[in-house]
Amino acid sequence: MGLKEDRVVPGREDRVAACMAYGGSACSIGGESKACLKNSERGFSQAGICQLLPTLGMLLTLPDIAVIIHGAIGCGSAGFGMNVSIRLHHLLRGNPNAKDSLWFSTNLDEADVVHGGEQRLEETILTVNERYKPKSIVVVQTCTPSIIGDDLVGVVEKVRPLVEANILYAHCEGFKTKVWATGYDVAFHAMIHGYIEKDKEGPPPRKAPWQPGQRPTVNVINLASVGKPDEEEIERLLNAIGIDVTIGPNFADREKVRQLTQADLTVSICPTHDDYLVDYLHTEYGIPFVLKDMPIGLENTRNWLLDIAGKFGLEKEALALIEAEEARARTAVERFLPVLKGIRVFLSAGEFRALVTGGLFQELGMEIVGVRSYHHDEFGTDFYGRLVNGQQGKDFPVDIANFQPFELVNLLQQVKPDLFAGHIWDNAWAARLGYPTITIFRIFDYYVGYRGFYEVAKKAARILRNHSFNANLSRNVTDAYRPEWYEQNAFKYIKSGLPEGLQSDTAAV
Amino acid sequence: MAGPIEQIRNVCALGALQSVVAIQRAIPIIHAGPGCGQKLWSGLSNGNGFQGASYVGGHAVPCSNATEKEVVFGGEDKLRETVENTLKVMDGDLFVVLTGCTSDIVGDDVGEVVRSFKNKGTPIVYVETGGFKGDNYFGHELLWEAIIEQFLEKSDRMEQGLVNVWSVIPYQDPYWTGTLHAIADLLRSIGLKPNIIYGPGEGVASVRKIPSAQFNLLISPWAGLKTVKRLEEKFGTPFFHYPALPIGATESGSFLRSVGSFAGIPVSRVEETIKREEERYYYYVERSADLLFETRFLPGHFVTIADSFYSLGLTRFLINDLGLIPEVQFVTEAVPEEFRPLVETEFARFDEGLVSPVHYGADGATVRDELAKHKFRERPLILGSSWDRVIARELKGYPLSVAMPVSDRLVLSRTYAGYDGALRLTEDIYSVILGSFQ
Repeated sequence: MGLKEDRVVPGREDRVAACMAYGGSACSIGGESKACLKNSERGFSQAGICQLLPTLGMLLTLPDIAVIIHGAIGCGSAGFGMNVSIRLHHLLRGNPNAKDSLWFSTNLDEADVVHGGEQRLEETILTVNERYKPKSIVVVQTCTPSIIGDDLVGVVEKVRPLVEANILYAHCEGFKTKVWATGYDVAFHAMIHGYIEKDKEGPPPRKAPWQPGQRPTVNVINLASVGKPDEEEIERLLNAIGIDVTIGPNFADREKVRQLTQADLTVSICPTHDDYLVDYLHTEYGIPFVLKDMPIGLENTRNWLLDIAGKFGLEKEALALIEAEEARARTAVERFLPVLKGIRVFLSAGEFRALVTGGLFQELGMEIVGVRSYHHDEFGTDFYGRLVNGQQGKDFPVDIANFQPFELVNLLQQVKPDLFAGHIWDNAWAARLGYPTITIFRIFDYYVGYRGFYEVAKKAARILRNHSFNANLSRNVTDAYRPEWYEQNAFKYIKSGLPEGLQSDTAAV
Repeated sequence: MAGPIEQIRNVCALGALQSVVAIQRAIPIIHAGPGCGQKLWSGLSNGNGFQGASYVGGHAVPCSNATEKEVVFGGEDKLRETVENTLKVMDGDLFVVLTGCTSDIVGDDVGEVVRSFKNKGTPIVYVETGGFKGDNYFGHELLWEAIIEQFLEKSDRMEQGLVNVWSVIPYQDPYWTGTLHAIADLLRSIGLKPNIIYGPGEGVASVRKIPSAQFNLLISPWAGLKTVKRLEEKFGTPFFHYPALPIGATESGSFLRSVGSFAGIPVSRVEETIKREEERYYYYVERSADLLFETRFLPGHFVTIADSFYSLGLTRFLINDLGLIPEVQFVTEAVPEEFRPLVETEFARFDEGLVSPVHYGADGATVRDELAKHKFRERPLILGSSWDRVIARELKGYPLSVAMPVSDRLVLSRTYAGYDGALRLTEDIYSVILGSFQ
């Protein structure tokens, strides 16, 4: 099975044995059995997110869409905030007049739970199409209609011939998967089925393979967490070695999504984000791919560029560019190095992002003292070891957690880092404890490539100069955990996936 | 039957979790799927004036994060384990289990699980707030019904002058914290002792005090009536219902006179207070008169798109105090049928020429369709949510975000209630107008 055949996208715990709960260290995680990691869970947990959020985070980037959330009214609560963030993306893309997405909830109530919501959904799709004529309609399935048995695909396929808009459907029931990164797959599935597989014109034909001598065009799969500045950096580097770039499918329209099938290579900038789509383009369109690195930090950028260049015999051009850019970047960050030297950093983000950013910090003379990753899969495994090797074998604790700030604050108080680099909604918890914090991504800034190397160094040096806000905050707010919690193992509530009776104590920090 | 909604302006019953977050050291425990808490928090808090996670909001809220296993086999064991461990990790004075759709559809016996902890002396209650049951106005009252039935204990003495304040819904109203404080100040100014349950203050202790109050004060068109009636039934505490959020001198004076009279405060005390407040208030209003009447930067007719608290409260102020003319008002929540006549009466309390049409349960489609029917000859003042900035732009109106969702303002202690609140509102309205051409 794969993206083309899957009627409903499988959860990542099944598709790639992704793990959501693990407490150990960078040295230990690589040795764990995949089956155990996949089955581990928590006896105490805090509110995470569900796959609906990343799915919509991607689908909302599509221009001129109407979103219909099929469910109770609360499932659409994040709507406006997401609209605002997409508007910011558009502003950065020089597109200030981008229309907001149209937002609808089928608003299921108690009577609908008894009688079913299919008819309401069908009428809503038809009305939205008729009244607003959006280019695309995104229909999102949530927990309630799923449990009562509403057949989303049935309704969509029934109305598809009746509406002009492309219909994209997404099964986003929160209870169906523990791994919210499944939402990326769901969004890819929705786009590919909506714009290619079930498009009125059918899928585009296969393109002839690349021949030496031709200027290659590569797909770069973008992410909602990578801003326009980073996309520009990626484009600049690839163009400089003679490669044209199609960036998508986020922010792409139907035509651009279809254009992805006509590339000579698909390039991922975040393997754990992209493999489902990359596999589709490979299987259905024979497009080779590069799926193992993220161009953050000098070494990772070097590996990433050389991998791509190697597919087209452009290694020489790539090496020349890398040497020149690295030299420039190293000179540029020199003024920050005295401040950054020996700074102990704690990283928190999606696994891949956290690990490659760790490499960047090591290149600036800093030490990694802890990583909290949202989930774990095989794409990240080697990178833990690389970070340990990058600091003379010094190991550090690793927490695999879908948020779970109770574990994070406990770890931070044990590790006491000099700097915390976190994903959205992580930094405030560290700031409350007084630690200087920087965002591990922000769509306004550069993180990728050589420009990113410089900007992250500058950002870190800036917060280390003055973090009085954080220090004052920690002196004046209390947190919601019992004092004795801080005396316990941060991983106390993680239950390993081993069958009962074989459970050993979780690794000490 | 409810229908589809365009551009939501409130959330589902589980949104009541934010009312728990608003009580200091009260800890919600969500028994639902993994995304419910984040969505509701992001809609009510961060997407609404950037109100933040606070002590135990956002991703810190304990949650059973129900999976397929809990949906198929029931989630009672998972809930029991979550509660048990919450008590070991989280530091709180009251724990509130709130259920979401998954639990309510599969029929978990949450009451049984929660009672087993309560029997051991844990301060814990539960409320079944599956999203399909209603909106967060409904969920908020379910929460209080639960706290009243399962937590509050009869007091053996009534504390004279102590007033429980029930009004705007925390987080749904981005200005709730400042607003409750403004109401408390008004009550203190005539010698009453306000018991403010939400926001900085006494936290769960203020909840425990509820049964010993002299009376319950409800400042709300309708939401909260069930709660104060239930409190009257259970504890014999009388309630005083003032329908409009008092904004500005006219309404604040009227509020102080009526609550003072209900509470048995001497008229002279009330009148002295009003005189003092009005002298100060009109000192500033006088200063604004030059701008308002010499430069003639008056907006055209005004439109409110907000819940009934604000739609009614703002309309009263803009007509009675600022001298503006209403065009059309949108009440965004679905006011239950039983309360509609009450709310309609309040909106009709103006001279005939100043009564404007009111649309109840209005969503984005209602606003768009209705405003398309109106011809605005001057730039209208549009007090709504951040959704409405788009239509305000199309109408060349002056937009001010006052209702959920508010994404273009950081809200900390700002309020439009009372005397000072009305001055803030006047400043904000005229800052929008003056900023529109500079």
